[in-house]
Amino acid sequence: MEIGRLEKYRDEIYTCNRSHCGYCQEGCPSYRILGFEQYSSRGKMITARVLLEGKIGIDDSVVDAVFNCFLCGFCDAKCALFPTNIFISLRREIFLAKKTPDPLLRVVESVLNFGNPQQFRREERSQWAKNIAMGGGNNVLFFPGCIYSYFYPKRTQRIYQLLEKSALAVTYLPEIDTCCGYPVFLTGDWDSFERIARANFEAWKKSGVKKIVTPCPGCYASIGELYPKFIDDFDIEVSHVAMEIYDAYDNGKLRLRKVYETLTYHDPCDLSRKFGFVEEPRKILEAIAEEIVEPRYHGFFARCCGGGGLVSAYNPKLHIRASIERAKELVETQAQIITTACPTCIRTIYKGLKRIKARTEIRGFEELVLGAML
Amino acid sequence: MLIDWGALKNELAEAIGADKVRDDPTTLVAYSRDWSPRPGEELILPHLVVRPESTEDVARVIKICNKYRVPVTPVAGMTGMGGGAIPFYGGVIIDTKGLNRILEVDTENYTVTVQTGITIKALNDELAKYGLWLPHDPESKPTSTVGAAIACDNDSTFGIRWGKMIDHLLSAVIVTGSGEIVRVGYRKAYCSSSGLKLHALLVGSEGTLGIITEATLRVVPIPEYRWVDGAFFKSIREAVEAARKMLAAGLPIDAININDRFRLKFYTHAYRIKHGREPEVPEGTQAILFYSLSGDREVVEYSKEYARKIVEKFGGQMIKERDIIDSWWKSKHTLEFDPFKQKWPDSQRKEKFGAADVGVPPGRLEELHEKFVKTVEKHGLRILGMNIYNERIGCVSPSISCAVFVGDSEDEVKRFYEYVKEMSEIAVDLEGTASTYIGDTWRLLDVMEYEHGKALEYMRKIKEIFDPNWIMNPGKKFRLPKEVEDRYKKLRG
Repeated sequence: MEIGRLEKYRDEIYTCNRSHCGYCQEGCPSYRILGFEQYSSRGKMITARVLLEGKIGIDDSVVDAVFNCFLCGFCDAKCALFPTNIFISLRREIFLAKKTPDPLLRVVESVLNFGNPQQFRREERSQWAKNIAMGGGNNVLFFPGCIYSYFYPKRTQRIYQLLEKSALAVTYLPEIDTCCGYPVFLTGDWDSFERIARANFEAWKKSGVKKIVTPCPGCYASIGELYPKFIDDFDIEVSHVAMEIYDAYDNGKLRLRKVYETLTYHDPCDLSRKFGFVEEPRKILEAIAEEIVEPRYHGFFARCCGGGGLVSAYNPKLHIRASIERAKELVETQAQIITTACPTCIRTIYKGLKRIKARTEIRGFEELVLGAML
Repeated sequence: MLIDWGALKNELAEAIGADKVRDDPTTLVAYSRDWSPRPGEELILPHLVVRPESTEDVARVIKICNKYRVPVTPVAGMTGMGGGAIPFYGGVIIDTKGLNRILEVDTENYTVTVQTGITIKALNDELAKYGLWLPHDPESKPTSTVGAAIACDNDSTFGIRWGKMIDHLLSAVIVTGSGEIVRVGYRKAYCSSSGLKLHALLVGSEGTLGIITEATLRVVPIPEYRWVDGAFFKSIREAVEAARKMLAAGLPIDAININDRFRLKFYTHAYRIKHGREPEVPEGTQAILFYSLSGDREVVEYSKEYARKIVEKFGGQMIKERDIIDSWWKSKHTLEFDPFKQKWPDSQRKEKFGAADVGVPPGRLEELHEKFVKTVEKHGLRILGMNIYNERIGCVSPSISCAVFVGDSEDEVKRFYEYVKEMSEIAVDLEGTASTYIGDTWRLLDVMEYEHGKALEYMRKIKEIFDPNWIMNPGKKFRLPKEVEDRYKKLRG
């Protein structure tokens, strides 16, 4: 991910305007649901151009187009230009113009005041770790992230157990555990994000953290990719739990058996399109299930579950509609279990499954692995 | 006459729902462009954009627009190369992509009935579940729609086997320029001698007669297997001859492109990236014949060897580097881009492609090519190359892209359209036609009379039957009556 003001992307924006191929539209969840051109990547690129050229100012319609985007990166996978960098930059321009919509300002406030985007109390964050004996960790920090910590404490426990059992020694530091700041970055308030990032980095350094392992793709993108862009001397290695699992399996340290019948894997946008983590989870799933069935849109071209880009805060209806669409695609596979390596995806797909009254179960990738360990 | 745009918006919102009518700045700018070369900073905006979802809604919108006498520009994928979707006089844009339902897949009769705003790719994704396929295959298929394919009469990779939209369209529903809903064609009948073939009039009508909202199309079984190949030739003439012999031999050919030597670079891009060198091309190569064969595997396996024999007998040299052939096929059909690595739109970073899309009889291709090279030079443009598609069933039937690079400057865009006009006239002089897949749009208004003569008067009369007030896609295909043009010019303020 690149970061910069809109001007930096002038050539990219003009290139899209010249091409106008629209290949980005097919799997764009916002465009598919909202329908008008400006919700697609191609349409927003024209908005970006006229903003750059001063032909329109930032008004409600610009804000509407920009914040109804899931930042899922489907357009990136269909294009050589990485349009989502530009849409993130547009959010920055909107912030600087003081036009950030209220629901997103509340997200920032919540992260700054409560250490999480949903105004949960700070002391609830580490509940999941209450009755667990913490291991040594060797300077490797387990960083569960807000969604796992608050919404899924039991799942978080199981992920921790998995790490312990597979000899990936980690430690958890409840006293300094807080939000990574990713939602704040996505609002365009990069100043607050930088303050959060620096405070976290300082706390981790004081505790001697050399490596961070997280089960949240958002935290992984935030700490692994964005922190080094804001902090010159950032020197902590960052990894996703699923990546650690794959490495352990690949090195023969983790032995698995087939215990599930049919699984389908939903690719979290941040892991698949951003970091190319597509083949690896499937190799793990092949080791633990009799059959892997793919939804029609998968891998690099998987459709967003509806959980991205803070759309859930800005336009909850759109968030739910996207979750329903994705849930339907996943249910169509007739898999016994839907799995994914992202807590936001689990939460969002669950909402979709509930709305369509589907009985298919959704479970975390790490939990499934835990249940299949030899 | 001043238009009360607010009142018009309210009336439209009442008729089809407020959420389907927009006039905010971001919506309007998003509908200001299509794929055609335009000056970089140009911004041509509609006054309103509507996105109906049913034939009845389209009819309501057009009736209201008629009442206000405002221009209506139908749009779909907005990938047209001729500016057909640009609202030159403002007015109302009807985005047809909201009409995107499949109404019936008839596996017994091999037909599909759709709302025409569905993209060709989305339709084929669905048809694949039944083992069927609409073989109309433009490169823009992920974005362009069935309705646009009919209205723009665009090109298809598989035209030589299956024809163009005119060959697939069995019947249609059109909302005319006066807002009437008319069903044309012969339901699901593949042949008819009854009445006049009004459905055929819709093909290439470019939204000037009305909006096609539903279509019944013939579809075909997906072939079991396909083989794609290519060969170098020392002249276009030899490549044409080999293609004719392959067809005459009864081979199951389903695509034939003949490229000139300039165009080859387009397909060697991936090779250069992969191998770090230029591919080997025989000295004196002037043309490259790419073709595909499809059908049952056994038939295709036999045919591919037979095709090679014909190619070699007629002076061709088979291309050994599969990367070149794959590159052509990915570009024309599979669109299998490697995520984050594809050439598109990376190849448009400084300038874009533009083309004169002329047609000449096969025997005049060499002459056309000579004139193409000279005309590009005369207008100070940079040559991209010629690709000869073949889109009539079973014969070498040139639909020709004479492509150049076009920059963003007003001057270069102006020179490009002068080049297009001159190439179109050259094609007519060579017993051909000005346009084969882009359409007339606004760019060939000066050539229409040159090509059609008195027939153009009859076309205008037909246009007026469908659209008596000249509201449908004004400024495209037909010159407007002066009083209408004067009135529309004032709308821009």
